Amino acid sequence: MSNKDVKILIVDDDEIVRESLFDWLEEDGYYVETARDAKEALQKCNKIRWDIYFLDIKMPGMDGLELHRRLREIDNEAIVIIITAYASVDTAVKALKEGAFDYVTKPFDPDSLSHLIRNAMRQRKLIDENVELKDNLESLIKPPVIIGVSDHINEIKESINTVAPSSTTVIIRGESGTGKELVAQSIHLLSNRKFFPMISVNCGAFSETLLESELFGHEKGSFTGAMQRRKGKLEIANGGSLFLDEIGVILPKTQIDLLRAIELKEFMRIGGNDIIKSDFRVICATNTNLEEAVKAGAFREDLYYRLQVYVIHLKPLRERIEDIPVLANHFKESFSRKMNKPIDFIDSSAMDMLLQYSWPGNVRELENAIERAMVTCKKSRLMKEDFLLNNYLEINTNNELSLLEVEKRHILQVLEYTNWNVSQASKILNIDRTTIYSKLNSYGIKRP
Amino acid sequence: MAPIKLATINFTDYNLITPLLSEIAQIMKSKVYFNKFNWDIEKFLNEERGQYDASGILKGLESSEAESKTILFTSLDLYIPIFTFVFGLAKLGGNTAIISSHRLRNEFYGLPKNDPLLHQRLLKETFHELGHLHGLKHCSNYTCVMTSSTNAEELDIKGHEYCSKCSIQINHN
Repeated sequence: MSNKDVKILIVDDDEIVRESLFDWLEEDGYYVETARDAKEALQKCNKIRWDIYFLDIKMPGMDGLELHRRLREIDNEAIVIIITAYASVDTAVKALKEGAFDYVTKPFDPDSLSHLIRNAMRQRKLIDENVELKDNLESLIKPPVIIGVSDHINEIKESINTVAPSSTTVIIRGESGTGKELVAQSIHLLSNRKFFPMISVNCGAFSETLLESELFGHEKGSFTGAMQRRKGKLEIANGGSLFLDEIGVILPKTQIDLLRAIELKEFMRIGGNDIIKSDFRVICATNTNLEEAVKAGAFREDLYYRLQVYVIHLKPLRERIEDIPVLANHFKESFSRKMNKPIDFIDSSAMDMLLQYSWPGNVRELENAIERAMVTCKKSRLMKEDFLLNNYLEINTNNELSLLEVEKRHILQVLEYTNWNVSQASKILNIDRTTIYSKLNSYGIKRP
Repeated sequence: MAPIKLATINFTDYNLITPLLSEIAQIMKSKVYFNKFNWDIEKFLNEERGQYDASGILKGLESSEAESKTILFTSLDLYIPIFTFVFGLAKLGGNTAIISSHRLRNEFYGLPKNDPLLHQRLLKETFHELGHLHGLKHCSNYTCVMTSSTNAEELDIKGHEYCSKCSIQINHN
């Protein structure tokens, strides 16, 4: 930024001050204008965004202090330098407390003023750079795209947009592989906390002691192996979000400590006496039935209610099969780019198979299935034989079978698939367990 | 290039003027005259500050002699209302400038008298104010005489010549 790009407005009721300062700054090559009072200054603010203001404290009508407040409303980043006589230094200090950059007492030392303007320009440049970098960063920090066309996915997207801007605790429930962490990332990156980190902790991956240390940190010597002080995830998440995956598996002692930390936003490191304050938002996920865990006494009721503020329930993939083609094509494109292996499309018979499969591992399993198929595929399209699906039940398409026979075969296939777990089979078939038993009885088949 | 007039008023370092004449003529490629100046400068004394108002003096001196550029040398301490002091003052594109040797002298800073240094400082100040009279603003090239100097050290660091960019501009004007 050269001097001619710097716009300076001098506001002073004293003509000599205005003229002298104008001449001096003009010689330095700045773009300078003057205003005799606050009214004229505010009019000039409507036309030009000034980089630096020189404001006299004592002016008839609106004084410099009030004008400074008005300027802050127009441009909060404005660099304001207060011009004052020795007698009004107290007022200038008041202006500093309200955000003025500095003040100069009349008459100024030319050397000091020169330094002051250079510093002001540096400050202005930093502010502008900061704004620009934040804008750039904002374009880089984009929430992950949630793929799907089903009503359910649209509802999930709506829920994310609703809850993200607040600091509300969110619990994401759903089977393994349904995309709970993806939803958590979306919530975090759509919130005002996006410039701070989202710290993830997989609660199921640690023993109780290790989990406590992981969450709250520890002081040096607090236990064998604690060679030095270590910050916990709750502390590191300050300003951002804390994602607690598999929250349902944590043990009661940790549950108590966690509840207190979530409620008070303060905690102590293991072996420490100092209270650590941390401002974090809790997003947690689970695939366990928390209600049953509460009934069984394995999960604290108070923590359960503390977490159940906003619930997002992710349906398994088999309950939203309309998302399978778009997800499959999305993964195909993604792996195609990563592997540099152009694949035109997924063959219709392969897609039918993907649609019929129950996807117990949900989207994660679909992703892995596509990746594997992409590796083994030798043609320009993914064929049925490229896929290797666990326990895939191929629907018999023999047109010569009676309805009774098709029913019998299908029930048997589902029972095979569930290892003869009748309860599970009844859920898949959407019929009562007793109906299955009576059907088996009518077929003359006994449970193996 | 318009002729340049050097004049003195309450100036004690008269012996430094003669070498300035030839150096200015050489650099500015212009005729340079010298004459003493008889004028009542006392009315510009601010008794409270013990200094003379440079902007007031310039306003009083800004004459109808638009054909020449006048540099007035004085040994009096100069100020403008917003500043504690000025080494010199010129109206951008004007006809008259004033330069004070008061704070250019080493003695002002408690150092031994140094006439060659004072000569260099006067020379730089003269070219600097002449530049302003020819419409030049401050230059970002720190070796150029048109760079801003708000203390004696900065004045000593910069050169006494115009940079190529300022030279072109001054010759054009």
